[in-house]
Amino acid sequence: MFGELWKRQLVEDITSSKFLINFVIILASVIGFSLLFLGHFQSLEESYSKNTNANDQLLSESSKELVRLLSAPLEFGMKPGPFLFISDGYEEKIPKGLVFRPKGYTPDIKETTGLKKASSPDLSVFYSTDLTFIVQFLLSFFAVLLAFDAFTSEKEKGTLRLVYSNPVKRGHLVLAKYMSALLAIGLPLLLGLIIGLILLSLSSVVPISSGFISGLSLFFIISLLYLSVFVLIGLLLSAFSHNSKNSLVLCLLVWIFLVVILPKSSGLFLNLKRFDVPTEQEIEERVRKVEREVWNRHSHEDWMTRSGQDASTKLNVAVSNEEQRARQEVYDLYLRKKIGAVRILQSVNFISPSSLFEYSASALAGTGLFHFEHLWKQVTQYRRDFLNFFMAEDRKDDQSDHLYFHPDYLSRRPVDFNRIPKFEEKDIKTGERLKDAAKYLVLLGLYNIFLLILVFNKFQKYDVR
Amino acid sequence: MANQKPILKADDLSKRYEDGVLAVDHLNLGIRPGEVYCLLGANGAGKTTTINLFLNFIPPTTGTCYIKGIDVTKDPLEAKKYVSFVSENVMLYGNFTARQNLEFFAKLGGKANLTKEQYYQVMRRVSLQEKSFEQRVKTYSKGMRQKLGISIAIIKDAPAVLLDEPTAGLDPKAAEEFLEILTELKIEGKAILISTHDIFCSSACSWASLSSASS
Repeated sequence: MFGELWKRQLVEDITSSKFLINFVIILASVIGFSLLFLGHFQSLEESYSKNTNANDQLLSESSKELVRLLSAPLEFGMKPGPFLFISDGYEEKIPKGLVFRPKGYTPDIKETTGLKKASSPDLSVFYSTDLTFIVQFLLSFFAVLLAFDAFTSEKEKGTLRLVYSNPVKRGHLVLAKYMSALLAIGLPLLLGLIIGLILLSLSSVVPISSGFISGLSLFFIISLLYLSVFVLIGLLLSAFSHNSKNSLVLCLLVWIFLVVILPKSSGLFLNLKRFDVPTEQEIEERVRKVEREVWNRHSHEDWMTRSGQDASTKLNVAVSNEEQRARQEVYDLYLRKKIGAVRILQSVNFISPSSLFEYSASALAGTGLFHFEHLWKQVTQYRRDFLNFFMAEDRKDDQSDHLYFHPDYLSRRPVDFNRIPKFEEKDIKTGERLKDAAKYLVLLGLYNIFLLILVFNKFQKYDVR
Repeated sequence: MANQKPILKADDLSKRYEDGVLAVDHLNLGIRPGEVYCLLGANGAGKTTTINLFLNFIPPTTGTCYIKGIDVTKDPLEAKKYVSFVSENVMLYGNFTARQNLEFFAKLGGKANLTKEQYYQVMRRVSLQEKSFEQRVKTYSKGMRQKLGISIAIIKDAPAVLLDEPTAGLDPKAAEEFLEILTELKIEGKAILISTHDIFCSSACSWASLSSASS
């Protein structure tokens, strides 16, 4: 019985003009986006490569004297990867990268404002367009359009009466319509993804690995989970309505609220001041303040530099290090507050399935906030490795006073460029990405279960006359 | 047939809607195999309500409906195995052909594994033209759809048949053809309940009751 209901529904859905239009638009969007992505990715890679080369160039010039390595302001942007195809994790408040900004002593890490985006200005509007965007907006809209008249159209046609004059369970019809709609929306998406993957692999621009293909497969499943929410919303509102027009209006209103208004309304609260996140100017003022406080604490002491082994020189170095630590704490606090603010806003958006999908796709792709936190962790480790290398090289030079990290009392010997540790961002492991995506997926799953129960319950009492 | 138990039975059946309208007032009827019972009345007399109560589309206020001895509110799925239904203004699935519609509803009614020729036979029986069997139903006239609706009821081969305004919108020739089919079903031993305001339809009936719209 269920098989017959499902088969009939599927044939009706797939042969409908709604499906045909949906199919063409989705395929065109995914293929169009894939082609655009190739150009965008190439320019992102060029930009990243340019940064890396600039860093290497800086290190090469600085390697003529060991101490000059401390002065090299290295910039580390987020490494572009093929997963940007899935989600670029666009968050305008997320830092773009990190930089060593030396003050003549040890380098500290802070957010960069200097990194440039992809060079082509024509592509700038597509920076936030990715597969996630297409599914989040376009496909969810089509999902609602497929399901909004599931029950009302049959009621209006009189076929619902005819169906239920037979020994048919109400739940079977609900399930048949649900599965058929999901298939009707999933099929063009799957085909689009396959064609997109083929286009990417035919080009030499985007590196395709088995990891990427698995990621894309997982993205498809996550997309189905998300689209399922909107199919269920369509079914639910169809079960509440007694005619298709009312159902359509309700569905459109709900879609606009969940996909457009709710996620973006958090931007009204995205005033970082509300979360006590200081501005860049305030950060610089705080940094100067802590610097003054550190030196003021030692104002009664003699910290004038004289010679390398003089006690006052050693005190100067110790106080400078204290100053640097205090400065780094300010920068770290700033970054933590900023990330914390974004996380709070994300949690506000948990009520929106659209936001949940966006976050899970971004986590799966290892982009956005997750990527930045990962980069931060790696750069912090790199800083430790860099300083350890520096100290090890300096200790080999008997001419150095080994006062870390006063530039006047450290080695000026040249250092082999090839031995200098270079920062190379490691890809985020699949397990880590899935772990981060898991909480959003669980919530999406709960959303689905809740809506499914509502639909089943509502339809049990639906007047089929 | 007079000694047989009724296939369709209503015991003290009443239905009062939420707005207070009493649509069915203590109806008692029993329709045996081979009997045709006609509910005759104007619009709003409660005829369709009675049909809907038998199909468990709405719950009764008081009383019970039985199909083959099964209480339709307590075991609706079992009861519906034994009843066919022809509704007024049948639209069906327009993008499907007549045969596909027939096949779908036949399977829902428990008639799987029928051949194409068996579907065609039923459609011939209701005087649908051969060339229309594989045409999409959205090209059908109202009369053709009504005939197809009747063939859906026939193919289920249930002991009870409920018809709601079966001749509404039919031309005189089609209405006459319908009466012939009704007589055939009666001879086959079906228990038939018709709701209609067409007095000529009642000529094929064993019993008829006249009702007026409730105040």
